[in-house]
Amino acid sequence: MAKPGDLLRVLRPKSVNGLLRLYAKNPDALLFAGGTERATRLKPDSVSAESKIVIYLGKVEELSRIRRSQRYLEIGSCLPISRIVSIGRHILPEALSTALRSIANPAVRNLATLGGNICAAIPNNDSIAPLYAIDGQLEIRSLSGSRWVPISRFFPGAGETVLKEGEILFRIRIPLEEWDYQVFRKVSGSHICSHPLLNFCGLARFSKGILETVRFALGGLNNTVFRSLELESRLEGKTLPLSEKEVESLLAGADELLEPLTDSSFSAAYKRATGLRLLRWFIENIHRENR
Amino acid sequence: MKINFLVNKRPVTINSSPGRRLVDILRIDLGLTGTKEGCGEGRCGSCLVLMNGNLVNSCLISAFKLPDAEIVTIEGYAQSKEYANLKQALEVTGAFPCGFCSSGIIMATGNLLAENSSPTAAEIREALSGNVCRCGDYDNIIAGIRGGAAKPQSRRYGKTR
Repeated sequence: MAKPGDLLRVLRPKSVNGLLRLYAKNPDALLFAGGTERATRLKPDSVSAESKIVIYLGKVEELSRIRRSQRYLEIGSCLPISRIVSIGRHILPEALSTALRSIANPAVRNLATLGGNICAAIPNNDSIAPLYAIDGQLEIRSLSGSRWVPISRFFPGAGETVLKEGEILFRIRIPLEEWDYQVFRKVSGSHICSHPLLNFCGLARFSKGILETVRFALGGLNNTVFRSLELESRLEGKTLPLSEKEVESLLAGADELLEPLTDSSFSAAYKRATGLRLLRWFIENIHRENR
Repeated sequence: MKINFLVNKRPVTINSSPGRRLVDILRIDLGLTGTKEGCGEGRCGSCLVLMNGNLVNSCLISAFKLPDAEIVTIEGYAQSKEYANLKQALEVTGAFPCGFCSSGIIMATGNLLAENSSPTAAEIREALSGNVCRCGDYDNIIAGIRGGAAKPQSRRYGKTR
């Protein structure tokens, strides 16, 4: 733990191996890439209570790569959001692209990274619900090797990630599937500085009036992201348009499963009502899209 | 730490603790007070500068990111022909009653016009979505920018590499 007055020491690895060695030696170091979250916590002449050592990731070229295969887009964790949107134009799933374009503002998106948006461990950060819906995978690396974790298992609890000592988020794997309908919506408070309250991502694939695949994820209700494979499977195979009974049955099922928590700005009841409205809006728009 | 970087195309060397913010270095160490500080957390756009050709909030840039960087502030942009056109157009609409946000908005606008020489009002609003005008004079600002956009723009200012 750093003490007030401790001078900040900055380490600048130039390769992933160098980074992992430094991080293994300095497990309390603060990893710093875009810095949009961290910079406001650094004190001019000392450091925050977090650490007296910063490992700056901006010189590790492997963390800013983007690679496309037939089935996936793999994005280095330190690639700025604006670069991802620009390079991923026409490749990224539209719902994820919309979510990334809605993060903060253009200048912040030039600094902020997708890895930072994920590792901040704030489930209503804008990239998280789309990554849940598209079944994003995360590659975690350490000196002892590499492991892949689905994003749905990355956040074990409030403000926590599964990253262990010496581990870093190396890249994010985005499955490149075709969707007939995909949406991202976020609901924010009215104040310019307010963090998104809820964000919603919905994806649907249909053929000849039959819903083949449906996925949806809702972030911001509590300390995790809501996604229910059971509710999704209830819709699959249904003929469009869904009957009123089918829609109401799905919403009733969601109502039972949602576990919103009251926070400093919004009540659990308001979050529940807004979450259900977003889900209804998505389902009703699938009808329209299939016409 | 000793830091060498470029500000408005001039080499600069400073001694700074690594955690200091670029906005403080510009205003206090270098006397470039055209860059303002508002919220201090990247939400109001008062402190916008170009860093290596990218629009960034200087309140979010720590000194340790500066070695070898190229910074353009409003004082540098004010030397360009694009600035003269924009200034003239904004004067026509009488935008910026108090002026506090003007340097940030002009930097964001210059960055937009370098990429898109005839933006729509919606594109301007999106480009300025990180800028707060405390006077709420957005309509006059957008009208001025659309007027200025009619004048020729160079490809991109402030980017030499």
